[in-house]
Amino acid sequence: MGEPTPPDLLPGTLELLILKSLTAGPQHGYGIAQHLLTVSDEVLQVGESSLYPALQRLLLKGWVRAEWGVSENNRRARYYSLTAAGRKQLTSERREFDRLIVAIQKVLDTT
Amino acid sequence: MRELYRRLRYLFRYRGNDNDLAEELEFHREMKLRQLERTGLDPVSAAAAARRALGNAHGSRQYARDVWIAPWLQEVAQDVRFGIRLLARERAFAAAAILVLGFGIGINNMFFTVLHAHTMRGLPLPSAERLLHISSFDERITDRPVSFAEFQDLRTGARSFTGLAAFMASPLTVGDEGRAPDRFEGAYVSADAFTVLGIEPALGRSFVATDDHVGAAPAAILGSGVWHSRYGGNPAILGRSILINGSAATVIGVMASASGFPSTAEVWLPLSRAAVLQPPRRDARTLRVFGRLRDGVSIEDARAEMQSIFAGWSREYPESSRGSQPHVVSLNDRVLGRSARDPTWLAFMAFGCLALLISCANVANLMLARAVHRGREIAVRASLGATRLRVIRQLLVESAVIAGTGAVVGVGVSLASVRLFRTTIPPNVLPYWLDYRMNAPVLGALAAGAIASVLIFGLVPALYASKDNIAAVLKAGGRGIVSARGPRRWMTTFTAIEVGLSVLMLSYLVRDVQAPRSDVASDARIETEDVLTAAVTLPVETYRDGEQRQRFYNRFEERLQLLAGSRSFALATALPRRGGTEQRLDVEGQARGAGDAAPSVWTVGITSQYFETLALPLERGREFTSADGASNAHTVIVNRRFVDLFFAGDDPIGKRIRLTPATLTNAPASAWLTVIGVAPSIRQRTPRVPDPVVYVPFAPLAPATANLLLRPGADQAILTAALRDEIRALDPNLPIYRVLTMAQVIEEVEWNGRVASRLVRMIAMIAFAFALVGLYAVTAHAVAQRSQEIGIRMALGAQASHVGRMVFARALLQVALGLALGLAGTLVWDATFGSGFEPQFTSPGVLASIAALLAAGTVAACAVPARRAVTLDPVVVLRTE
Repeated sequence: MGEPTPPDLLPGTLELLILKSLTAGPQHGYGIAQHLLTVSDEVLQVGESSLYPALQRLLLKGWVRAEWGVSENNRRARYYSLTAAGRKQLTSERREFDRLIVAIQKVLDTT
Repeated sequence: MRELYRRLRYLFRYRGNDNDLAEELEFHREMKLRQLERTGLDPVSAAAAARRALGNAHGSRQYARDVWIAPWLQEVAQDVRFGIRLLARERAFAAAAILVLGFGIGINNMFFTVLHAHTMRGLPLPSAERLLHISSFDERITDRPVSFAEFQDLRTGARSFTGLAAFMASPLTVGDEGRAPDRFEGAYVSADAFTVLGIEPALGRSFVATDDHVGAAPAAILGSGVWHSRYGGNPAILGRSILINGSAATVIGVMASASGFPSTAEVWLPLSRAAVLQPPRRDARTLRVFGRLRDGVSIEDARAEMQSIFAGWSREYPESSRGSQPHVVSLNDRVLGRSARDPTWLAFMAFGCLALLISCANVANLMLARAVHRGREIAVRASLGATRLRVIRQLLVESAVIAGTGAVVGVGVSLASVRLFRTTIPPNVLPYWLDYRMNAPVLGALAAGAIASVLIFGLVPALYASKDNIAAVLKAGGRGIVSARGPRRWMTTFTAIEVGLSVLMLSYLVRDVQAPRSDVASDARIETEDVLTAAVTLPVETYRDGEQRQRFYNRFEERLQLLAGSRSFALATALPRRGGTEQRLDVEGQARGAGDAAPSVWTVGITSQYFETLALPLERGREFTSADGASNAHTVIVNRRFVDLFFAGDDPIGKRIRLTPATLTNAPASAWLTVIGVAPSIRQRTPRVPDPVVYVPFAPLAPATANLLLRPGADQAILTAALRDEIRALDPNLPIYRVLTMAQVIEEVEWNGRVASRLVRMIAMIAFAFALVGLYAVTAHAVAQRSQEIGIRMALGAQASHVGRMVFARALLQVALGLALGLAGTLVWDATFGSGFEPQFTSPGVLASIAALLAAGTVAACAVPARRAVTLDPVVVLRTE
């Protein structure tokens, strides 16, 4: 079914990052991409071909909801915000991710 | 679950969502552009950079969209659109397939709907299978009713039932002060009859025990028909006093519209009001008894109990009950007259299945014919890289479009044909339990069968998508599949089977049509079907004895004489086809062997001009005169059948016979009666073979009900009005009812039997038409396939007649195969179910008719394709290569 995963990220990580960046409040797609870019010191360059499918998946799961609003430069923009289910998902996925990182570290440190 | 819901909602407003996504991406691009500009790039290169950075906008949209809808689903939608376009182009094929499918489903469904209503659904009563019907029989009479005394014994003696009830059907007159009375079918029922049946009145209450004893306050229950036609559906009818058979009764309840127990009754009175039950004689058997089985009691238990009770009667009351046996069957079986081993019923079922098979074979054939056409297209698709699965899916979708449309047409055809069928039934004869309601599982099963054949045979073209075949198919050009014999052989087989099955059905049809004609010798057909008939009943409450009734009839005849003028008229105890009185016969000089039961004959009381009115002159002797009505005349007229049976065809005039009532076991025999005339065999009952009938003078009988027959002349409406006036002048409380022409009487009596014959005829004709459509499709297809070959032949000098012969030869081969198959099938069929027809299947007339029909059909089916073949222009055909 052709779901492109961002080449630089582990599967599911993008969703986690999006959820995390929405904890600060509702944000539109471009804003989320910018946020990821600046916070990661320009390491995480998320293209729209992966960002928007990821957002659609989150919508489908019911973890975020989307509403049309007005952007900072007075344009119509679609704002995403966390739902209660999304918040719960974030904490559990965060825990899972940490475990994974620790595991990966262990593997890499052991020779 | 929630996810599915969100998916569906997305699909539902797909366009809106897609626009949202586009706008969102556009916003994203614009923001990016602005940012790049801010970093100092010139607008043009910034735009280019933004686009570069973002990649393919359309691709992004596609990816985002795919999250919601699987791409295959979109492709299916594409297939559906493609399929519809394709079918719109091949209009003739699509119409044929859809119509064949639609009529196949629809007509078969109508057939099974009617069959189901008549033989399977049963009574619309709660736990109807627990209701049993009890009658008796002895060595002389099958299916004898039960007397009131016996019923009372059963009610106190039998332990197997929660309740036992009795009824006696009887027409009843409903009247009111100052209004002309009406006549309705009715029944006397014991108080708990409706409780046992589980029928509740729609309004008011049912009978209770205190309504049903001699001297109780008279109560009556009305049916919804009377209630609406006579009392405008006014609920104030409850508690109102009306006149039933001339005496007052209080309406205590109104039944719902579909509660005409025992069949088409509209008025019910308590059993105690039936005058014939007094005094209660053990051998006055007039009641039908039924009961509801107690929980845990089986029908066998009930039978055993009845056996012992009847055996007790046999000992205790030998003069009235010797040899009397109980006959216990479920009320359903009794009403439906069904039995699992009944060959007619099985034959009917088999007939329906055959028709279904033909429709399926037909649809399969059409799909196959098309499949062969499409070989090349499929091969091209496959060579361009379509996977086999993709091809199969597309074919499936196309078939599904046909199947879906066909199913919709099928439902429409079923609805229309059931309604049409309903209109062929005369009014007021449909019993309450007959309900031509469609049966969802049956319709589902039929549709599933037909649709499955569409889907399966729709897949045949996919066979040619196999890789190693493609090259061969393409190389061979449009005729690629000619080399593949498979489908053609199948088509020939299917057509032969179709023709064979329809020959089997045609043999039934032909014999059904020819059968009545072959009866003419023994059965006089009533040609003067416009004879006007009417009935009048003298209520026992006001006409207590024969003398009073006789006086009424004398005055009635005088008045009729004035009304009829020169036209002939007659009174009779029963109209033709409407039964008679069963009596035991003794012939003078013919001693019965010891222990032989006296033969049964049917008697009908008639006045002097009876046969003249029916325009059926006597074969021998003379009609009755008024002198024969005198009580000491002792003269009778017998019918041809009677003469054949009891006088071996000899001249019976002057011979003497004696009659004994059949219902009374020890009734006195009549005096010797002299035969004065021989009438043609007019059937009094419905079986094809007429009964022996003895006509006796009407006057001494002075029956409670008389039927009037009047030769037509004036306008029927005027005549009816005049007749009503005459009767009102004699007695304002007498209704004249069942004012019908003789044709209507026969139609009413025979509709039930005609239902079967009508259905079978219809199905057989449709099956035949289907087989011809199949033949046409196959032939037309063959011509299309061979057009190049034909073109070459004609270019090389073949004559038109030769080409035509070629086309017909192939069709004839299939017809011949089918004919052989059908003839063999018919022989097997007759051996299995019994033909039930007088003309044998192998009689030359039947065979010739079938052959003629088939020949005509074949010519009709092949004419158009053959014409097309003959008129082919070789230049055009060869150039298209």
